[in-house]
Parts: sequence; C-alpha cells; structure tokens
Amino acid sequence: MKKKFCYMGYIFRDCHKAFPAFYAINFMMYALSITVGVMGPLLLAHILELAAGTEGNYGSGLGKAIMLYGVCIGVPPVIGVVLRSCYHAAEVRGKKYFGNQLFAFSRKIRLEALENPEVLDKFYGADKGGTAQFQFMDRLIQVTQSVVLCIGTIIVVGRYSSILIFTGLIELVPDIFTKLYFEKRWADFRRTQRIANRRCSYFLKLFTRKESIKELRVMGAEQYMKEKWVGENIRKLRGLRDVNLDICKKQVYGIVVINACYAFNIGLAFYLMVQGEISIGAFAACLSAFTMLHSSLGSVVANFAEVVQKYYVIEEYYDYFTIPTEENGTEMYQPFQDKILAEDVHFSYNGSDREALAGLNLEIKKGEHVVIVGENGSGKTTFSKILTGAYLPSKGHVTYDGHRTEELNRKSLYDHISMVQQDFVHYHFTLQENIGIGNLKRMKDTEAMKELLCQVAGEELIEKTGGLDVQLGREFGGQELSGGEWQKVAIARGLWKDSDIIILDEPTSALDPLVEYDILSKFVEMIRGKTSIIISHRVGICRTADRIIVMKDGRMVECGRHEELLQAGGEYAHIWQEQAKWYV
Amino acid sequence: MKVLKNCFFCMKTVFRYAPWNVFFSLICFLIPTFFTGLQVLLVQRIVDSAIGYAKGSVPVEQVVLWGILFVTMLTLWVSLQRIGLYEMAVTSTKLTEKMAPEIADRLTQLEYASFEEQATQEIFQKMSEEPETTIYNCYVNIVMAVQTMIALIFSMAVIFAISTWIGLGVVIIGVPMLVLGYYTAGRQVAVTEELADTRRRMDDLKGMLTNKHAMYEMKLFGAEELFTGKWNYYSTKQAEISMRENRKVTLADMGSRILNVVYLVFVVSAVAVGLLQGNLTLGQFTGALNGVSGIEGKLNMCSRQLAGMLNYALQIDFYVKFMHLETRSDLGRKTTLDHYDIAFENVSFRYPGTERKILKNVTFYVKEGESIAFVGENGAGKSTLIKLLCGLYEPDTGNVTVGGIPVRELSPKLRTQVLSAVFQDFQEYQMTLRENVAIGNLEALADDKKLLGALAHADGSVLCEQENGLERNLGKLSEDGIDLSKGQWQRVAMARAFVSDAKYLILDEPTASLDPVAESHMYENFARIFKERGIIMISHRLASAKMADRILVLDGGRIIQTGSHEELMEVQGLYRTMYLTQSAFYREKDTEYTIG
Repeated sequence: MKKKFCYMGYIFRDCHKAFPAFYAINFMMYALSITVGVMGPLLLAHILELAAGTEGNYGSGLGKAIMLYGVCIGVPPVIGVVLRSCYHAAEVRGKKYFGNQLFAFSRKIRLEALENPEVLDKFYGADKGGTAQFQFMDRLIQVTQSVVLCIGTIIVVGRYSSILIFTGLIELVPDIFTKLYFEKRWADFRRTQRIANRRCSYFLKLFTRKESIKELRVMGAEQYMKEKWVGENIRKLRGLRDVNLDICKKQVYGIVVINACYAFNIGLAFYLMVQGEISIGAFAACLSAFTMLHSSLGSVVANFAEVVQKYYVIEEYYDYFTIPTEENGTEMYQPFQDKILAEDVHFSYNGSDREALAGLNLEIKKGEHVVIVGENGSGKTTFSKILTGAYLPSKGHVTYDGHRTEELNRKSLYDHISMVQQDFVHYHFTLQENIGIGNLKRMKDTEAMKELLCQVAGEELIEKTGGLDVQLGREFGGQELSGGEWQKVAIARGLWKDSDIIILDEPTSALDPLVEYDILSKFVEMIRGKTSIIISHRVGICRTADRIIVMKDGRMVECGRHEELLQAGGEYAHIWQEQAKWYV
Repeated sequence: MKVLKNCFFCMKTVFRYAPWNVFFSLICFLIPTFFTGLQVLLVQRIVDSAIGYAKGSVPVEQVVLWGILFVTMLTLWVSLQRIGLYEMAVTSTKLTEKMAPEIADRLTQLEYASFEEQATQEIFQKMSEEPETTIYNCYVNIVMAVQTMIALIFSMAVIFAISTWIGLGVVIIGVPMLVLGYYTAGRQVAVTEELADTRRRMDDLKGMLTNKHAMYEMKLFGAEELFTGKWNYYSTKQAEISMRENRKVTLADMGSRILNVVYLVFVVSAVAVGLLQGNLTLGQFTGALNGVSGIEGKLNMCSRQLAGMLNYALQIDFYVKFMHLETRSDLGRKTTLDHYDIAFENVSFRYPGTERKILKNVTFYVKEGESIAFVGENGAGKSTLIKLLCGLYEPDTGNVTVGGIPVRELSPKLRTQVLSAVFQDFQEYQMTLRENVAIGNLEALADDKKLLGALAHADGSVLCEQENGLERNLGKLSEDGIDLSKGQWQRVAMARAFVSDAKYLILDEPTASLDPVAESHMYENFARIFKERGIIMISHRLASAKMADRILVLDGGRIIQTGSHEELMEVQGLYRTMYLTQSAFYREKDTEYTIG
C-alpha cells in the first residue's frame, strides 16, 4: 500500500513545476462549476414553486429566478473553454517538461544497465508514462468535482427529506469497487503482456525488414516463421479477450444496481409528494437532482477508473528513475606520464554467470602502440570499456599512474580518450556533426575537418555528399551512406578528438581490402604521439605494434612483440599461422 | 472524399471480420439515439401529470405510468449501451485475432522490392503501431458520431415541437458549431503532419538513449550537450507549434461556445416569456430547458466525434495503402529441373526508381557443383547480383536461369532446394538454438543428429553443450534467453548453411566478424564439405576466394576478369592489386611481388 501512493507527491510537484498556474485555474473554474451545478436544481425548484403557486399571475421574483437560471446554464460553456485550453496548455507543457526530465535522466544511467533488456522496457514504459501526469491530474480534479457536486446535490435533496440522502448515497457504492478491481486487473495484465508484446513486435519486424525477408525467402522459412508469429499473437489475444470480456460482463451488474437505485429514488420522491411530505416544486427539483446525480455518478466512476489507470501508467514513469545512475569519482584526471596498469581485473555482465574478464593483468606504457588479439568472446571489447572507466571492474583495479579509475572524475578521464567502436553509431545528423561529436569545441573548424575527412575517406565522400553540412540518413531526407562509408565517418570522428589515448575496436571490419590497407597504414601516421590500443581480428597489423596482447577467456595469455611471440610458438604463433597460410 | 472512402473501407473491414458483433453493436447504439428526445418528452409528461395530480385533475395511475416508462427507458438505454460496448469489445478482439494472420499473409505475398523502398518502410513502421487498434478506433468513432448525430436530429425534432423558434435556433448555432469543430479536427491532422519530422527526430534521439553504443560514444566524447541541445530544440519546437495550434483551436472553441451561450440566453428568455404568457406548460418549460442544455453537450460531442472520425480515417490511410501494395510475381510453379547449371545472360539491372545501372550486361555461367567467387570493391554490384540470383528482383534485360528456367519461375520450394545462403547481415533469430539452425532446412527440425552435425561443422558445438542443449533460447527476447556474441551468432548462421541440402550455397561475406582462427577453420570446412556442391561466394578477404574454382572480378557493374587465382595473379589487373595489398600484412617486407 505504501508503494502504491508513494509517487503522488512527485506528480503534484512535477505538475506544479511544469505549469504553475494549472492548479489555480482549475480550482477557480471547478469551484464555479460546482456552485452553478448545485444552484441549478434549487433555482428550478424555486421557479416551479413560484409558477405553480401563483396561477398565471407571476411576480418579478420569478423573472429574476429565471434569469439566474439562465446564468446557471450559460456559465458552464464558458468554464468549458477555459478548462479545455488550460488542459491543452498543460498537456503541451507537460510533454515538454517530462520529456526533458526523462532525457536528462537517461543520460546519466550507467552503461552496464543498458545491457539489460528490462531497462529498455522501462524506458518505453516511462516514455508513455511521461504524458499521463496531466491527464491524471485532470481526471483527479474532475473526480473531486463530481464527488463534491454529488454530495452537494444529495444535501440539497436532503433538505426535502432525510431519507433521500441515504438512498442517494447507496447509488455511489457498487460500481466503484468493481471498477477499482478491474483497473488493477488491467494493469497487472498489461505487465504480464509485455513479453508477449515484445515477441509479437519482434516477429513483425522480421517480416518488414529487408535483411530478414531476404534471408527468410531464400531459406524458405517464411511460412514457418509466420505460423510462429500467428501462434504467438493468438496466445497473446486469448488473455486479452478473457480479461476484456470478463470486465464487460461484470460491469453490466454494476449498471443494473445503479439503475435500480435511480428508479427507487424517483419512486420514493413521488411517494413523498403523494404523501404531502414535499411540494410539487421539490418533487421536480428532486427529479432533476437525481438525473444529475445519476449522470455525475457515471462520470465519477468513469473518471475514477481513469485516475487509477493513469496512475499505473505514471508509476512506470517514476519507476524508471530508480535505475542506478553512473557513480563518479572526485579526483581530476591528469594526463598520465608513466603507465596504465590493470591488476587482477574481474568483470561479468549482468545476468551472465560467466566472467567476461577473469583476472586480467597487464601494463600499457605511455606512447605505446598496443594491439589486442584474441578469439571472439575473449573479453577484448569489455577490457576496452574497463580501460576508459565506462565499466568498473567488479574486482581488481585499473590505474593510471596509480590513480584508480573508480576514484577519478569520469568526465575528466573521458576528455583524454578517443575511440572508434566496433558497433559505431550512425548519427542521423549532418556530416559535420557526425564528425564534430568527437570534439564539439572544434566543430566549426570546417577546413581542418575537410582535411581529416580527405585523409580518411578520400575526396569521394565529400563529393558524394556535396559538403559537410549535409544531412545523413535517408529516413530524415538525407544522403544514405554505405556501411564502409559510415565506418570511415566513425574513424574520422575518433581521430577528430585530441586525445592522449585512442582505442580502435575493429576499426576496418566493413571496409574492402584496398581501403583497409590504405587506412591502416595511415593510422600509424595519424596516431603518432598517442597511446593507442587497437583491437583487431586481422593479425596482419600486429607487426608494427610495440606490444601485442593475446587474450583468451578473459585473461592475458601472451604479451610481446611480433617476432618474440612468433618464436615463442604459443597462441599468437598459432593464430598468425592460421591466417597467414591463406596468403602465402 | 478520402475520409469518406477510408470510413467506408473501415466499415467494410470490421464487417468482414466480425459481422454479427458489428450488427448487434450497431443496433445497440442506434436504438438509444431516440432516447435523448424521448427523455425530454417524458420529463415533460411526468412534471405535467404530477402537477395535474396534485391539483386533482389527473389520476395517480397516469403519473406512475409515465414514471415507469421513464425509468424503463433509462434502464434500457444504459443496458443497450453496455451490451453495445460488450459487442464492441468482442469486435475488437476478433479484429485483432483475424487481422494479424492476414497481415502476416499479406507481408509474405509482397514483392521483395517493396522492402527496400523508403515509402513502404514508412508504411511498415506504422503497421507496427497496431493497425487493428486504429481501425477499431476509427470504427468506434464512426458509430459514435453517427449515433450522436441521429440523437441530435431527434432531440431537435422534439424541441421543434415545443417551440419552432428554439428549434430553429439550434439549427442556426449547430451548423457553425459543427463547422468549427471540423476545422479544429482538420488543424489537428495538419499539425500532426507538420510535426512528423520533429517527432521522428525525437524518436531517433530517444533510440540513442537506449542504445548502449551510442551512450558510450556520447559519454566518452563528451557530446551530451549536443544531444541535449538537439533534444531541447526539437521539444521546444514541438511545444511551440502545439501551443500556436492550441490558440487557434481555443479561439474556434470559444467562438462556438459564445454562440452557445447566446443561444441559451435566448432559449431561457423565450421559454420564460412563453411560460409567463401561458403559452407553455410548466412541463414543457422544464423539458425544453433540460433538452436544450443536453443539446449543447451533444453538439460539442458531435463535433469532437466527427473530428475523431476524420483523424482516424486519415490515420488508416497507411493500412489502405498497405493492402494495395504490389504482390509478388516470383511464385513460380516449376517443381523439377533437369540440371542445375546457372546462367546469367546479358543481365542489366537498376533498382526500381533509381537512375544508376548497377549491373551492365553481365554474362556468366556456373556449372553444377562448381564453386565461384565474386571479388570487387564496395559498390561493384556483388550483392545485387546475388539478389537477382535468388529471384528477389527481376532483371531489366537479360535472363537469370537455373537449369534453363528463369529463376523466378521456380516454385519457392524448388528454389530452396537449389540455393541456400548466408548473408553478411544474417539474422539473429530470437528463438531456440534448434530453430535457429533448422531455419536452413526446416525438414531437419526434429533431426537432432543433423542439427548437431551442422553445428559441429560450423565450430559451434560449444553452443549446445550447455544446459538445455538445442532447446536453449537465444537472444534477449525470452527471460531465460542468452545473448550470444556476434561471432557466436555467426557460427549459428553458418550452421544453417550446413544443415541445408541445397545444390548451391551462397556466402555473402559471412565471416566478417569471425576471429582469424575461426575464419580459417570455416573456410577449410566449406572447402571440405561442399566439395560436391557448388559455392557462390562474395568476400572482401581475398584469401578465401582462392579456394574457388573460378574467380570473377566485378568493377562498376561489369565482369572485368575471370579465372583461377593462379591465372589472375599472372596478369596485371585489379585482382592482383587487391591480393597483393591484402597479403602485404602477412609477407615479409622484401617481397617478390610489387604492387601495381
């Protein structure tokens, strides 16, 4: 129960921050509308009594009452305009406010958390939740208004006879409970549906992307996959249908009770009139009050259901903010003079029982060109992330001149490292921004950037795109690049940053041989003076390395120069032979 | 016009999937349309007869009769509405249930070219946002709008009966109110379109937030500000445009409400005058007031529902377009072949809607069991050639034949018996290991021996040695799924090739992310196992091309060199240049070859 409402405070606070005037406007408008709503039946009773009592000889009192009644009918539309525009404004502001809040937080999440698919789910949940706050607030206020209105009406009716208070109240009870129960059931159901939904959208993706369609068609597996998809869909729907239909059926019972109460109330009022306990005017007023009660109760229940529903959605929004954020050290990083040291480094990914790094020890001296080779899954890429401080070892340390990465201010460390990732990113920005991301401060230095790009990619790339300020990515109406061209852009991005250390993780995997050779030989020139760590499958580049590190099962098994390792006849010699034999 | 057409399409669709439920829900929603008017009448009767009874001129039974009628009507009203909603819910589930397989069917029937086109990709993108929900919502909005409109007309008739002037007033304000409402809806659609690009960019940025590689780069490069700046720019733009629109909408709304207030004042004074002059009974007075304040809500609702209808009708446009996409023409019926020689004869090709010729007059032959390799720089046309061979595209001129029959005339089944492939962008199926391998040859789905054998050939035996063996779930989709590294996935993809019995195996740069040892093992395995069968290979790594019987060098869409590795190395040409460059890493510096 405690968890259930712990976000209420946040909602109130955030809504206030996003749109300060929201509460005030709503309060005033609703106060007005309640007054008018309660006044209406009273005035009507008054009018009827006057009219029925005076037999065609109406006084000025009646005219005044009718005018007032006109105001009562005329005010709600005006209130409606104000509320509606207020709500629209709140929605727009809320979307912006909560979107920004979400964006700002997401930046701070620990990288490791992103390995976990649940985080993705949570993000999309939160993304939906971020638009629900004002809807929640709006419905909550409406419920409150309707409740107050109902109570007001009941009190008005109660003035005629106290029995009517009681019977009026009974009408409130039955539906609320069923609604509450169903909302809970819906929310629970939706949570369990997540995996099924994910699976279904995965299948849809298989059937709409060219890569997968190509493969499925050539392999003749389309039919099989389709049956799986349809099966998954039917399983998912069966649950949906059960909940949906069950709720619909049960709601009918609630309706029957409410209607019975309604009929009973009218009958009672009539009986009281016949008995002479209340006047004709009071009877008419009761009739109109009950009609109003009846419809407001409907809206109370409907809105209340929505309040609960929205709350469950919002919960997902705030749940997202409990994901661990990046911890940061306090010590400022100073460019290292001597060496980087990894001591007994262990690391395992969330949800995996295998250690990606299992006691890694190694040393990289300043200015060295190091090449890391090893089988797939030997921990090369993981190590590079440990080295930059993006991941922290679960045991052991990486130190720069004796300063541990976990104690360093991460940003100050990042400032001195550049990289080209294996899974580099295609930014759907301009070409200039794609490269400039490496160093935002020099973004505007177009001459230098052009020069760098020509070095990496030759004249053709700029000629193809027609300049640096061209939007990339076809979906955004820009130029689409090939895999190799994107990789060249990524390399240019990595080199654009001035750094002491550069990490190149499979930097040439998508390039064709001529270009690969060209770039690899230029690398040597371009990274002169930096400490470089190249991770590669192509042992060919090892010959020029100052040091080759051979990794296996999360450990370093060999270390040394090309000639030394070849002579030693160990793992490296084996890899070299395997690859070289195809070329000689 | 399009709106009406789409509405019609929508109704046709729902009727097709759930005819009875739609029929019942229509009845349940259309009968109560008369109740709003009836309510006005009945309230008027109750009040009049109750007053009459109090004066002694009307018997009590009559009052009770009106009362009972009134309550019965209300009960019926709500009950019908409930039953209608229930039928709607059933319709919705039936729609989802039946539409999904049909969409799946449709997708398998589409021409492959559709999948590479940008315009269709956008349609597919929308298809992923639950088209059945959009159709259903459109249907609901149509029903509701029609219901409200009929109710409106009927209550207007009742009011006309009480007073012609009041009735006329409703018509006079009703028309502009509806027009304003329609305008509002039109604006909303326009704004959604105006904001489409902004939203797409925001989605792209959001996608980066959840992409670990992008986040890593963002942090390491300290580019947070750029991203935040972009995000803020787009979110502010979105907010500004929405606000600007809101002002317009509010003005329109205000206009219609003012009309409304003016009208209400008019009505109240009109009935008051009527009452004072004795032209109206008290019952009629109450009835008219009740009815008129009801109509205000109805008019508002009506314009909103029409707006919703318009909105959804435009939204289902993508579905209409989807249903009209071109269907595939490559489902041939030929089920047997005399021989399996492949022939490309004078094949030219450019992608639909583009200018550049990717292939220019390509001619070559492959004998059954022969293995050939295509070599060339990026963009030389290698992958396109493979797509034509697989029958995914029709050549502009020339023929692609297997055993003398155009490849698109072979039945899909026969085609899988002829060709199997491992592509560079191979798929990582989020399913069990067994299924992942058996995709290569579904007949072997239950053949453990064959599957394990294929995995062994692909150096992937390790994968099934763990718990659950072949039944373990791969990927992140299932809770118990284990994600593999790129290299491990590649082995799984390779195993697919080994499990197939096809005459030819196409290898489209499949080893790009394998480590060196695994790569050379793989080539040895291919050479050994496919000795009897043909291999058609594309590779950047020229070393692997060496094992082919014949190497075809592509440049600019033409075949410029053909021959074995030894033959090609003896002449100065593109192949020799490429090979020497690549092998330079592995040769001692003083090499006997010179590049050029």
